[in-house]
Amino acid sequence: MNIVVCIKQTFNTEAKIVLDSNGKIEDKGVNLIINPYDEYAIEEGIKLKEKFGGSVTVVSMGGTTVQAAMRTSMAMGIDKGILISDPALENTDEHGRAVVLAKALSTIPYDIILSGRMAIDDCSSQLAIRLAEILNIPSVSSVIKLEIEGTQATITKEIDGGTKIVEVALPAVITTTKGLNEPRYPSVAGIMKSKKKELKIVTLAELGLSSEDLTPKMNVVKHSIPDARKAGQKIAGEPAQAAQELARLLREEAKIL
Amino acid sequence: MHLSWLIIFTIMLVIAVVAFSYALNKKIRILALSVKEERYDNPATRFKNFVVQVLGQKKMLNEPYGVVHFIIFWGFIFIVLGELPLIFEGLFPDYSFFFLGTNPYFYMIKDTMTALVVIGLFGGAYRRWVLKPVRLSRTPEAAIIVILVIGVIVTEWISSGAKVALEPDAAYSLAFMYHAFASMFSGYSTETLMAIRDSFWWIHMVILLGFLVYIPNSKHMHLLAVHPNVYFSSLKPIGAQITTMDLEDEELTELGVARIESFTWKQLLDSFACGECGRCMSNCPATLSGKPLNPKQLLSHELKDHLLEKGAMMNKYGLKSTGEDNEEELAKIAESNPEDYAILMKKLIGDVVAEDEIWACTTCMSCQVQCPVSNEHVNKIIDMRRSLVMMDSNFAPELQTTFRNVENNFNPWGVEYSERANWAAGLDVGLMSENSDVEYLYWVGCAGSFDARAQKVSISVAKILKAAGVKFAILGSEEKCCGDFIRRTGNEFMYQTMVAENVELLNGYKVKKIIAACPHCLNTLKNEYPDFGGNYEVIHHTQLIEELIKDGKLVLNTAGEYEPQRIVYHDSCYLGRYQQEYKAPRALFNMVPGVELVEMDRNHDKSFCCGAGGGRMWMEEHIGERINNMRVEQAFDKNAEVIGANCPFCITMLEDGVKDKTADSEKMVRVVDPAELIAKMI
Ligand code: SF4
Ligand code: SF4
Repeated sequence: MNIVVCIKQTFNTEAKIVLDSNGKIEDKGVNLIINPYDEYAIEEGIKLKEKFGGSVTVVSMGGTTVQAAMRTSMAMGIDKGILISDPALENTDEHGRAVVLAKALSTIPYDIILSGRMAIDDCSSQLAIRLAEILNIPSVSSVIKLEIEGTQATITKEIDGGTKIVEVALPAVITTTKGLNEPRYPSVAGIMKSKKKELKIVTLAELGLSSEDLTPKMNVVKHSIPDARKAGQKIAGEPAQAAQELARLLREEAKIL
Repeated sequence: MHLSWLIIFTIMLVIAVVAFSYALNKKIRILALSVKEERYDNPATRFKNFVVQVLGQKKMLNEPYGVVHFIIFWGFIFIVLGELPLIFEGLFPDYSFFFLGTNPYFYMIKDTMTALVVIGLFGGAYRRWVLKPVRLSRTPEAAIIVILVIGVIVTEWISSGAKVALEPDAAYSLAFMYHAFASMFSGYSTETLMAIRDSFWWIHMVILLGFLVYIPNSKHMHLLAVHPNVYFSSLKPIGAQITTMDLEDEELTELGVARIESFTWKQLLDSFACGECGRCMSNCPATLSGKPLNPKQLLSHELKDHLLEKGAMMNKYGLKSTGEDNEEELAKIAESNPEDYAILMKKLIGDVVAEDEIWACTTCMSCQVQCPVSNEHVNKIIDMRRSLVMMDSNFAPELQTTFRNVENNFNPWGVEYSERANWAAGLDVGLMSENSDVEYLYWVGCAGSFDARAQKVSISVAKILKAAGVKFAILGSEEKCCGDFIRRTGNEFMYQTMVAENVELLNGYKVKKIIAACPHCLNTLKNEYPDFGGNYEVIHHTQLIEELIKDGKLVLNTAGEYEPQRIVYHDSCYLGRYQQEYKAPRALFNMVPGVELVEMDRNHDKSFCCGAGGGRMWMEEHIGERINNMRVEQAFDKNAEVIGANCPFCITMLEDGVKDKTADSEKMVRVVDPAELIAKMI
């Protein structure tokens, strides 16, 4: 089975987001991780390979820092990787990236494409779906259980307040979410092996694309940071009096009563 | 000369020596299967250790019962010396053995020692079989040795007693036991006396030679192995004994130890040297709280029995290892001899030592500190953890979260790393990045930086240092986890990554002196960083504060009202056993007016772990009683209002235990670091 896992490198979940003087998100000094939802995709890809044989390829986009994330996925058990690296990728959006990704995938065989339900940084949940559209194959989102028999997949996915079971024919794009599996922690033996695995770096030109193909369909107007949470207030005194004081504060200061 | 005696005795002696050598050689060949380890340096220090621990029996004498062992040990030496004239004069009755055979003082001492040995053995047997302490096993092996030794001594008394009764000898004039037996035989005919003398001489020789053969075939191998074991025991401080792996080594295919032959010879020799005294288990928090780990059992049975069984099998087939390199050979054995194959393939982790056992250790080091034969238990446990973690990625899920937290935010709590110095807001504490021209770096540690309770100690320490005019700075968000728990949970790879980053930073600032408020940071910075090029003088905050007060740099304000309070003190493992610092924290508590400092029953080097060490802080405690609760109950026995501690992890564990064990939240016992009390006096 040819398994492809698309991952994104994101800010660490605890990272404090600050904007630089141009209103752009400052990435200096931020620790980077694999997008947590993509980890479920990696784990599921490795599990499928363990069950059905074949190979798992990890695909990602970005600069050299992304290699660290890809090596980690290889330490977990992914066989090889393709990194699309090009300065032009800076100035595009989900549409442009989906075009690039689709082009890259057209160079390799795939039976199933796995990716996280969304990236925790921009939360747009678009890329995988757009990719399926371009490749003209089905996609199922927020998957918490995946069973494959032959070329048929039986999938349990999360829906609001419950679950839904669907069947699709492979190849298909599957987006993964919490509950699907427990991503493994790479062993050091795995880390050592990962250093020798193949990681191919390709540019847009090598894929036969130009920056025109990447013209964004949307435009970011502004980033803003939520107001800092104010410290709590402790109301002293007898319970009855304190409750009265609380009511007064809620009405007069917070103005929510 | 008795020619027939000489012939028979020689035949017996040859048989015994051959049997002894055969058994011993078998064990040495098994030991030779292990991995090399360099322990030949510093012969003078090693010899000194041997004299102190073996000849002087220093650790044995730490306990009252150790006196019995001391007597038996030295009694043995005199028994062996006494054999020389006994054998020689038995075979050549017309001659006396040089010096020993004619010296009445020798016989006097020998008689005294042997008499004490017999009394000691009876006392020991009474303790073992009547008082039945948990730590001693009541096995046939233990009984056989007592009977053999008493047999050796008594038969000699009888034979020599008869000899004295036959004809008084000036050499025996002070040998009171001989005389006692001689007087028992008064009135016996010459023939009877001769028959007694000769027959007991022979019985004695049979028991003696049997004993010789029995030693290398039983747990009493201890008698032989203890000597090299103590001589080759680690010369490093107890906190520096975890081996540093060379992870750059391309040849390295197996990380940690997953097969018994992957231990070093010294690690395996420990098992043979073990005298099964049980001192290690009697203060082991894992054993006492009902976890599956028992350090005595681990060394004296699990590892040893497996080693002997598998090692013999490996030698039978001439296998140097049972790893991948011998796959073909092993496959053949699987075909031809499935039973042998099963023995060769027994898994060290899983079949011999359970995973839960390996994870139960808190690295409190009590076992090693108490062990009279200088065994090194903890390293073996860490080596097995290394295999589980680095080869199989097999460990508790909560530990995985913790590892990831360190990877992403350089602290086990997983709090955003840029908030590391938030505790110091408003305290005017300098950062190294702003001014590194200071005397001390204050290494705050992850707990002191992020844990709300430990932050209070950090604040107290900073205030005290400022009040005493100490020039110091902190690293702020540049500081990263010291790696202590990472190394002790077997993740050497990640540990070395953290250390490399920290050393680069510290050396970049040319740091020479470090204050640590956490004994775990203290130990690894001081004892383990030197292997990675980090050489610093590291001091615990309680040590420095005591010094500052002594030198008059910090003046305490003792005026004002101080409520009397009773504080029961808890020695942390990493400041106590690891650094042997028992004084400074106690001294600080005693400086606070109104404080009455009391000791727990288990104190100083016999202190009982809080349960957090060795990475246990970051793992659930599913099996047995909670170790922290046990320690808190030991503290409650002393009816104190406060528990004194010196380590942020101890404070957390003890506070949790107090909450768990106190029904009335109004009467909660507090847990404090001495710095918190001192800070209020400036
Ligand atoms: S390991 Fe040491 S302390 Fe433990 S039983 Fe053996 S000799 Fe005694
Ligand atoms: S270090 Fe402590 S917990 Fe570990 S085996 Fe020794 S006594 Fe037990």
